[in-house]
Amino acid sequence: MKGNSPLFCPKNSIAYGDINLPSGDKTFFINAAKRSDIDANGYLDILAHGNASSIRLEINGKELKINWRELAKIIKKNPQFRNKGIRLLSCNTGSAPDGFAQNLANKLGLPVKAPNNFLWAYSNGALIVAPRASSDRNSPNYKRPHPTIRGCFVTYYPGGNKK
Amino acid sequence: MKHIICEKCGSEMIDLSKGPYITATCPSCGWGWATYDGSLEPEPKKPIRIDIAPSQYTAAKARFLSQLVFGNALEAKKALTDGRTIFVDSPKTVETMKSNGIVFAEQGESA
Repeated sequence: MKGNSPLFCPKNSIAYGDINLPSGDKTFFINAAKRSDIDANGYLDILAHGNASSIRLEINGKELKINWRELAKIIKKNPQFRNKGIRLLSCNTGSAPDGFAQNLANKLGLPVKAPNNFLWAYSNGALIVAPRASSDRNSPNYKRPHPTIRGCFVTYYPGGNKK
Repeated sequence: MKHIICEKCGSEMIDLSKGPYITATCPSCGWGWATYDGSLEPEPKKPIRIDIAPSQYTAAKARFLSQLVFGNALEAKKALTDGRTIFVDSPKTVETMKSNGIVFAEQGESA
């Protein structure tokens, strides 16, 4: 694994395109499909449920976890891929400096933007990166985004450079 | 647990969360959100190792094993003729094999 850059949140971290990899509950995908910045600036959006080390995929009704190598193969085979950057609309995939997004960037040789916390898709299509409002499992705020604290999309570059 | 209150209209929201999929929706105004928390994912079951004993081929056993495990009658026949190690993920599968007369050694859970 390459790169060990500090987390950094650029202000205009919006991006682009669309490969949908729905699995499990589809509400996230339905909400995210209403977002206003699809395919902006040439980046390709990848929608999937994920975490810092893997994303989920559903094939013939069976859910699978896949790593960045397998996702890189899927992306390269997709006709929408134009060898430009990738934006992962997938929770926590950008949360670790040597995690999923950095490894995908290394594998593809392209910049990869990914959320450094939970990605919440609102019913109006708005996407926010935020932690839970509460870490107490018995609180109703455990299942809602924090009202003020925000994360961001971090850009990971091949070789580990990040800006 | 107390209810989730809609930040748009103040109504009580419906919590549709299931396992790692966190979803809430407001029945009054339609506001809602969804996210995914992989840490709430249940641990995958560890596979059970089964050593199928050789020299026990019958057409009925092969047909059964083909449907249960291999999805392929030739593979099932070969496994029953030559013996084979397989991995299954459900104790129920093990029980079904036993009740259908297939002879095997069970190694318990395997990492």
